[in-house]
Amino acid sequence: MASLLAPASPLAGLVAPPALASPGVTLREVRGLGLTALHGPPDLLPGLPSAPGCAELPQGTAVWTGPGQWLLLGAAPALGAAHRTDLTGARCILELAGPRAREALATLLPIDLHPRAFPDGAAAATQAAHVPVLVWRQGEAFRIACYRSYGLALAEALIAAGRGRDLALLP
Amino acid sequence: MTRLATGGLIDRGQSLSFTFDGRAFTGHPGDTLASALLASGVRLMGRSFKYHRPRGVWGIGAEEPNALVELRGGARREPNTRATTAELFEGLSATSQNRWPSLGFDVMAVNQILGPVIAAGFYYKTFMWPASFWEKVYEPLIRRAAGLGRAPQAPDPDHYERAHLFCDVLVIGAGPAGLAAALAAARTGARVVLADEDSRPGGRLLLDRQEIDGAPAHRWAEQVLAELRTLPEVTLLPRTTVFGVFDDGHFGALERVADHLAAPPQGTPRQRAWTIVAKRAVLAAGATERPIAFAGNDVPGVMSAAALRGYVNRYAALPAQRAAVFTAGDDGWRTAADLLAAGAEVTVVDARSAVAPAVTALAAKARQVLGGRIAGTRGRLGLTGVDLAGGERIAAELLAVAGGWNPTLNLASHHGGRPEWNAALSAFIPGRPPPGLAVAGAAAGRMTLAACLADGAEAGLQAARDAGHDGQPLPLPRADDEAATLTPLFHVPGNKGKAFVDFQHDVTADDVALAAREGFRSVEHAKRYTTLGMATDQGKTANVVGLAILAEATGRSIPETGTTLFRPPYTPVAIGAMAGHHVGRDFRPVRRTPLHGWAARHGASFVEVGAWLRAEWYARPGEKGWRDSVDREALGVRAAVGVCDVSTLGKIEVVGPGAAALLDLVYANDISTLPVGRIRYGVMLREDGVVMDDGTCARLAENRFFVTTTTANAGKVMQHMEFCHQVLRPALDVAMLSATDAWAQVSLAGPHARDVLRRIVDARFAVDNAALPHMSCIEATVCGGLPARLYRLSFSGELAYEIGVPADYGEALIAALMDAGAPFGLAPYGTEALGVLRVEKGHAAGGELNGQTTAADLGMGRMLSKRKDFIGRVMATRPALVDPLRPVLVGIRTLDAQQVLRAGSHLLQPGAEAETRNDLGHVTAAVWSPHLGGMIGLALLSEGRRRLGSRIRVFDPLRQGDAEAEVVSPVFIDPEGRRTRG
Repeated sequence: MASLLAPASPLAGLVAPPALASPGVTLREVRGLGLTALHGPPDLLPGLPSAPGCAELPQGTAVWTGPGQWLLLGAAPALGAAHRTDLTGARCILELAGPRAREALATLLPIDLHPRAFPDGAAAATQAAHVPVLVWRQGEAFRIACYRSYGLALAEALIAAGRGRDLALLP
Repeated sequence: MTRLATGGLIDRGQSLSFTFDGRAFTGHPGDTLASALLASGVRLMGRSFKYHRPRGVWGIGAEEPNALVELRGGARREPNTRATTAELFEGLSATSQNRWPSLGFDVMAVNQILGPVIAAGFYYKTFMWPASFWEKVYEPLIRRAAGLGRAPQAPDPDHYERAHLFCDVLVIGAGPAGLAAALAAARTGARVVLADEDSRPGGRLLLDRQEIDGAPAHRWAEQVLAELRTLPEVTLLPRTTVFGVFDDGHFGALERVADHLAAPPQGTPRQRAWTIVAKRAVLAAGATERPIAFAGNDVPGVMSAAALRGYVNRYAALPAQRAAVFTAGDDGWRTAADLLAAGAEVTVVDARSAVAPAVTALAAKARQVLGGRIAGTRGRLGLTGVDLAGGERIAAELLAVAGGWNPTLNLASHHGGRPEWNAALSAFIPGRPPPGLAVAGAAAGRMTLAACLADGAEAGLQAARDAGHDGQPLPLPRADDEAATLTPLFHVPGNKGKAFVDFQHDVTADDVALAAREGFRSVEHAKRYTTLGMATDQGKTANVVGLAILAEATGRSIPETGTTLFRPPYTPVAIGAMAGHHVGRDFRPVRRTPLHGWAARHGASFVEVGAWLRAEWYARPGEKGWRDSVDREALGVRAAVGVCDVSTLGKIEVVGPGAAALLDLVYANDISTLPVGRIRYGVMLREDGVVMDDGTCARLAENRFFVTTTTANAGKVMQHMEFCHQVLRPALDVAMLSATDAWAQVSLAGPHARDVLRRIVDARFAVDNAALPHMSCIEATVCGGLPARLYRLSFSGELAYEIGVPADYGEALIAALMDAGAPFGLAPYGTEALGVLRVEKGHAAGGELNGQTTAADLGMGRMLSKRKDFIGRVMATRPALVDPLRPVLVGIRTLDAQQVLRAGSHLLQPGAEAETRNDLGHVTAAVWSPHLGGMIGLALLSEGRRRLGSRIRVFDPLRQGDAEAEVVSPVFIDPEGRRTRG
């Protein structure tokens, strides 16, 4: 962007817990990703998931959000304007990892995150601390996307979930 | 000391100091408060609810009705804590409750003398007259006399957590059946959760002197737990009570994470409320020994026989040397045997005349009275002796009562499950448990150790198989089937003195009989009349005995009499645990706009609008109150220029070839005729013809529209539009995207709005009246290349633009705007000033879009399209919705500047009486207009248009408001709209 203006994180003002040498849970905001809503037929792009789940495409991660709708995190795809809507910045995307991440998330998410029930590539639309969220597994980490306006509230709820579980906030 | 020299599962290497009613005692890790007090020779622990009778420990776990104490103090004071489940910790402080001035001498014990007056149902009879005395006199008196401890007054200093747990098999209870079930299920590889309310799993294996595979039974429990701990898919939850069974395999459980500590360590919740979702569950909750109702059966020292045996074996606590055992079955003899082994002097009174020699041999050294009855007790604050039915008196400080076992089927009667009577066991067993829940072991009526192990192993394996995991049957360890015959005995009638059935609610056998005599023959009626089983223990020990007495009194069998059901929770659950993290400012999450931080730094105070926080005004130094700020902001907009954060307005992008057709359906006015680059104000009706929401619709491209909604209705409108698409017009090729959070959006309003805009929009984009006329929009860049959307529309009635930039750039945009606007006096304004401006301009908003108004009521009747169908079109023509008497939108203004108008006030014809039939409408919004120098309002007034120019009475009976106002047009400022178009 050619503008001289600087972007701001929705998490400005978040109070970080004390730093830890070997955290049980790490929390970080995933910044700088483009966000595009895709809407169209199931074969809009090769590799789009056709059911709740996520998939890695050359452009980025595509998360199924409804029949014929996806959120693409990454570069804007070469598609006609009728099939994409730029929503960059509309979601706050948080990543939780670490040995106690699943345990911390269990205090917020009413869904089963066990690898048998929620393997790599799984995604769900659900709620965390009354905040509507999209959650998906990316390798060993979990990513949670909420509306930007809820970002600070969700991050605070995640930090509260990390109490007693050695949560560290990563830059 | 009454602690035995050896034995018990306590850590004698360490001592813990604690106090009870200020007296210092010591115990050991592994003790409960009850066991430590018993081991210190304390039998008196509380006073009863109604009669204030001295009470001691009856049981050994969650079933305890008597020994309720206040634990801890200050903000952590916890009333009604069962001493039998409170783990001992260093420095524990407990206080007896419901007594004054002291536990030993309680003035309210005078209630015992009033006994005949305050029997069952006394308050229905005694306090009937005069009726006005109930609330002011009787109820406070009764509440003071009858009590269950005091809740703390200070806020809870601890935090609580809620969590979710998913598994294939949930095993409830870690006694022999539960351990076998968990192991059998876990070995299949299934995800298993084993929850047990005790700090130490093992159940009766810890309390009885039994052997498994030739070793003490608790060793086997340790082996099983050791194996379970090595299995990665097993979760062990000690100190966790499963308190309820809910729909679809959901179980509520409460984990007492830090209740066994003086205070939770940093970061640790006091308690954790689990929602456990299990494909299958095994209830292995064991059984509870029931009392026998005989005169004086509540004196401290009278205990459940199995509980007393447990105190001896697990805690090495023998509260006194001389004990009597009153039993109706074989099980009491095992208590006698264990008491003898501990060195006590024992008399066994068995209600049966014939007892198997193998059973009497268990207590060969005891004095044995067969075919005997205990008819009464001696002692007031503690037992000194018992009277046999024949008149003989036996000196004893302990009386162990073995009335038989009730399977702990509470959870099996949740969720529609019903218990059924089993004559062979003389007890209720689970009849039809909730779906997915199997019952095993003593909870299912398998009353011996070997049977429990076998039953548990089978139920555990079956549950795992039902959840999709197969495996081998568990090789069963070697254990015995102990003698367990019983001749039911519930009541020893015909003696002087109170024979208690429900200890906690002070319900006696006579109360139950009285209820039957007075016609409360139904078990549900008798329960409510006597309050039997309605105390905090839900009658865990009382219900079956009460039922048996009711059956006898009404000449029916127990199954004919029926049974009451148990409801969740199994044991009390603190509201704090249910709330978890969501207390105080975390009660609900809030939504913050991209400009929130900037606003906070510039003096904004915030108001909640739905989940959003919006700046309501921006206070400046020297302003004495909110009115100063709001007046300044509103005047500034009309005189110069102001900027308002409108990011919270709902924003929906409607995209695709079918977009125009869908919008024509959902909007009452025409949208498909809107040219690209233009904006139209739109109104949506509900199916019933009433206005649902209003907003604007901008056509960004042929097949792309940008729809705005009110802040509060964004979600509802999105749902409605999705419904219209998916259900009513599925063939339309259209997608709807919530774009609310994609944009930081501000409204720049005032005569200098264009001057400010010109200074931030990049030079190659024209913003003059020709390029960007009223109700048009362009895509442009601002501040040197930042993409932006400019919408020229006005809510304030001034020349105004909305500027949208990507959300992350909101703070940068407002900073740039304030710089650019400084020469023109640009100032931010909040929702209050916005409200003043919109009332002055007569724009409908929340108070007018109240779910009762039609488009015509709001002066928008001509917007309804005549050339197309739309949602609500037909129903909007119903006679009641086009009635000429309907209240319609008007303005009202006071006749002098001193008068006050308030929203919600009723409108009456001047001189008319303030009665409902004279009501002509109400005030929907009222503000101080700094431009008009007085209060103005919007109102919905019957035949409002005809009344323009007339006087109306504004009557507010709630706040003593009564004024006359003039009915005027709702547009107070610039009715021709010159400012907007300028």
